[in-house]
Amino acid sequence: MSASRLQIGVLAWIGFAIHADAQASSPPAAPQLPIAAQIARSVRTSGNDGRALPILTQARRSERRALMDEIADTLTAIAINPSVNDLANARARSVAIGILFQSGKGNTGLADDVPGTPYSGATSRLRRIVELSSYVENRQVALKRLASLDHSSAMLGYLRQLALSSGRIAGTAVAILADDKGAGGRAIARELYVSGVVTDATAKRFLSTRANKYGW
Amino acid sequence: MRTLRSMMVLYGVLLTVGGCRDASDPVGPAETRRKWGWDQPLGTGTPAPPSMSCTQPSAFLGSATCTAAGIAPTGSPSWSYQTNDGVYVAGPSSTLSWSGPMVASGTATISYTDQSGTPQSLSSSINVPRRAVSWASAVTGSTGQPGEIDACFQEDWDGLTASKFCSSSADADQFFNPRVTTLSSGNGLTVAPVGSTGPNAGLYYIAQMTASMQLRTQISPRYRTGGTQYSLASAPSALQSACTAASVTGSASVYQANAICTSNLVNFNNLVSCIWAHEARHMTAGLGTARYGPNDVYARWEPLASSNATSLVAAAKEEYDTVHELVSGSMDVAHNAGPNTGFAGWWKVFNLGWSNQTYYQHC
Repeated sequence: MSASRLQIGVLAWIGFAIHADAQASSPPAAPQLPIAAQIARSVRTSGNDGRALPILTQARRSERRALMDEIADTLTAIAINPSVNDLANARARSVAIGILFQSGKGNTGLADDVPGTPYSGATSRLRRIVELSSYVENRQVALKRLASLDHSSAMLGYLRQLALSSGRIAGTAVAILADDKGAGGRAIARELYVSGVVTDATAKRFLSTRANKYGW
Repeated sequence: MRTLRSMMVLYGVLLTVGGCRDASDPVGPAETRRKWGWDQPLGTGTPAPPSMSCTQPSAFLGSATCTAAGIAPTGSPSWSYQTNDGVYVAGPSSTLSWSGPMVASGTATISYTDQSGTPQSLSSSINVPRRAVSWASAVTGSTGQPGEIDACFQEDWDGLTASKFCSSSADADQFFNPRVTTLSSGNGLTVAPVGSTGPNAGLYYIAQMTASMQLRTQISPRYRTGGTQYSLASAPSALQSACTAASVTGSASVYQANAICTSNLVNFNNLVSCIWAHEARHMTAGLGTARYGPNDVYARWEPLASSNATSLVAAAKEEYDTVHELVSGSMDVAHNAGPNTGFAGWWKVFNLGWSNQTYYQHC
């Protein structure tokens, strides 16, 4: 082996060794996904996420409204769009609704209950899920969360309207009105019971049990 | 040409090794060996660059140890960890080792400044084995014993499928124990802190999962011997006279009206069998839905981790509520699944009183 070939060989070996060491300890930075995409991936693959709430509730700093809305819209899409019905996707839909709900309450999810600012876009996203989700159970839970965030009289009217619809969402609306919305909600539920206008079988049964409980 | 280039290269090497001497250079062969360390075993050449690695936990809650080397104390090393779910954990500073129990996979990072003052970081991923959990064995159902869940019946219900813990008709649509709204740490699940050391310090996870669904089917008390007594005062005369002839006066249970006052027991029993079959259909649907893989409550809870115990319970409740809606929905769908069968030739009680009109039920 000539001297030049030996030297080239040694240099090549050193070069390889340095490269391998760098890979082992500090992987080359992959192109960073937008934060909304990172959150979506985390929700879908791990069934959990720790980034969304601090951003949506501005727990650490003031955040761009566009970023917050992008994250909220991504979570809404997860809860609405049809996907393979496996554990990961089923879990992801619940997690997405849960994050939107907690953000609307201003819960940051951070240690020591660090206070946050309630995300004002939560109710509109939850309502979109109620009306558009491909999954009735997610529509039902989104309605419960929406109703617990929105204390307006318009919400009572919305629940009454849903109670008159067909499908399981009608029963959920009846239960919310009768159990969770105070005297105003209960009065509407009583009126629905007495007038007999509710058509969904489950909603009618729920009204019947409440009538029995409250003596309507 | 090749020979010439080789000689030039060798010459260059010789030039590098044989550079100028200064006053501190060793002079004798022995001093040279000691001064330059030539009496020591051969090293690897240049100093090892800073490095960091983490051991992998062998099980959930197993320990991981991250160790760094080649970072000077003046580099102000500090540790941090980010779970794959984006939960950030700040670690200790001024130490090259960090270890503790693990519940969440992620990436450990040591940040430092190099000798030129430039910020640097080294990262290593940690993969936490997941727990194999399932609530399949916590999902059970059986035919109710006499009296079981009777408190949940409303007067006009023929049969009922409910949680064995049901205590009123307003609770009859709550199939899980505990009911969804009361799920909390210590009631259906137990939240625990990982501890105060290591990359998962300060995180909470669900340590115990005890929520269950235990269904019971039952037939209305009024269809049982010794069931509710209903006045015969406004009953059709045919039933009144039959009961009088059988020495049943004043009031009668549905069972008495059909088995003692009249000879409708076969027809009545056919209806009772139909109701049991109907309730079994509800229960089978609920059990099947609850045990279906994607609806496994424990599996849905297993990966949850948070730096806030309240948030963790809220996330668990979200899963619990959703699965409950699925189960409840499937049980409702089962209501009309069986053949709609007419039952005639027996006495029953409706709101308007005793009647023997044909009665339809999905068996």
